[in-house]
Amino acid sequence: MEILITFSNTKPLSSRAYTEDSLVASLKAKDKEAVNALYDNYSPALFGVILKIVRSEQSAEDVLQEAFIKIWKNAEQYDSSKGRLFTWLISIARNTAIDHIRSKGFRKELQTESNLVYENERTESLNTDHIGLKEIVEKLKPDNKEIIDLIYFQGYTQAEAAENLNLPLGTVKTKVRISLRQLREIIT
Amino acid sequence: MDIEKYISSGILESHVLGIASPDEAREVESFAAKHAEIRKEIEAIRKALDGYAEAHQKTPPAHLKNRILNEIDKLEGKENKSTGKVIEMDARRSATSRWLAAASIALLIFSGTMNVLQYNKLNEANERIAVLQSEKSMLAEQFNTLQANYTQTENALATISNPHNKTVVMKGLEKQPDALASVYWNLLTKETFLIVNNLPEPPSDKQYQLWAIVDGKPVDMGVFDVTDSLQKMKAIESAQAFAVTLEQKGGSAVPTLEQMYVAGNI
Repeated sequence: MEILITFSNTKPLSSRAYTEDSLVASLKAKDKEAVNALYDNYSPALFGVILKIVRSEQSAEDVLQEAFIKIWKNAEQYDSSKGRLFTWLISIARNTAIDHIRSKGFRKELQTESNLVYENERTESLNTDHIGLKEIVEKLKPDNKEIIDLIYFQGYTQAEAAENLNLPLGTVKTKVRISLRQLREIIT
Repeated sequence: MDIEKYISSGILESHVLGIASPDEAREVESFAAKHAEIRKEIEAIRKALDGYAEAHQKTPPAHLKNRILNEIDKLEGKENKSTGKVIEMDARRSATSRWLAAASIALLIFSGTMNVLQYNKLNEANERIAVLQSEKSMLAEQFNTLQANYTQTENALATISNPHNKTVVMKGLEKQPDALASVYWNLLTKETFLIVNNLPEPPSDKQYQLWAIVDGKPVDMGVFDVTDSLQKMKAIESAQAFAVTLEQKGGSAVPTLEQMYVAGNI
């Protein structure tokens, strides 16, 4: 699953080409050029996920910064045998965002903030490699989407989801499995 | 194990979503290590969720990139200035300290062994010192004795060889014909000295006494013991002969003539 990453935009030093492996190696070696490349390649996905969770541009910017600092600091913890770099980066972004919304400060922030961003206001990515959200939303059953969003984006446990949705735990477990199966069918 | 059943149990989904218990997660990981189908299934679930995450992507505002890179620069700068160097030194220090730890253990063992050896050596040395010290004091004693003897002998020699001396050799009489004693009489100072050349050891209640014969009368010159050394006797102005008798301890006022051992004329 080697992805050739190239970037030739604004910064003249960003002329290097990375494979996922060499990017990881550079990142672990604390090469700042690697962060540059990482940002160019992954920030839209990370920012999108964070925004989905924190629902505020302002907070999402802070959380993305926090996530990148964690990525930079903990790069040596990434183990390629346990999964793709993308999965690792997304999980850091998700966890940072979930921690953020669970912190006390965020609740106050939500109360005072008026410019909440909603899914339907989003500009979809120009990237054609991946399937668009619209397409997924069109195909994924709403209650399946709901349960995935609660667990994956809001960090709910199955018990919390059961309580929130007013469903028995067993039903939630079954729904999680069915929802992911449907998601898999849509995405692959 | 029924892999199909395990896969359809929902536990893999829980694991990928990060909501499985630590025990479940360990179980899934150990099964995944053994079964390719499980690995494949996990990978598929991850891909679906990654795809779902990616579907939400939104390019962050342009200014954010520089802000974040600057933040990391600052972090790096700090690390370089302080912690960065410390980390580097820490690594070196930990290598050094590991080396030092090994070295110090080796040193400890070495020093422990050396301590035992040194302790034994020290004991040996102390014993030898004690022996040498007693030898030394013995030798010192001997030396002192010899020095005293030498001084005595030297003095005796000086006394004997004094040019003003008159030497009177007193020979054995009938009682003990091989007996012999000598008197050295300094005619200038009038001092007398006696050497026992050969006299039998007296009984413990008796002592020899020297007499000077002055104008036919005996004059007491003092008692003496049988030793090798020159013994100073009483001074006498004039005399014609000297004689030795065996008397009661402490001496007598009048010599016992039957107990005369040696005599010599001047």
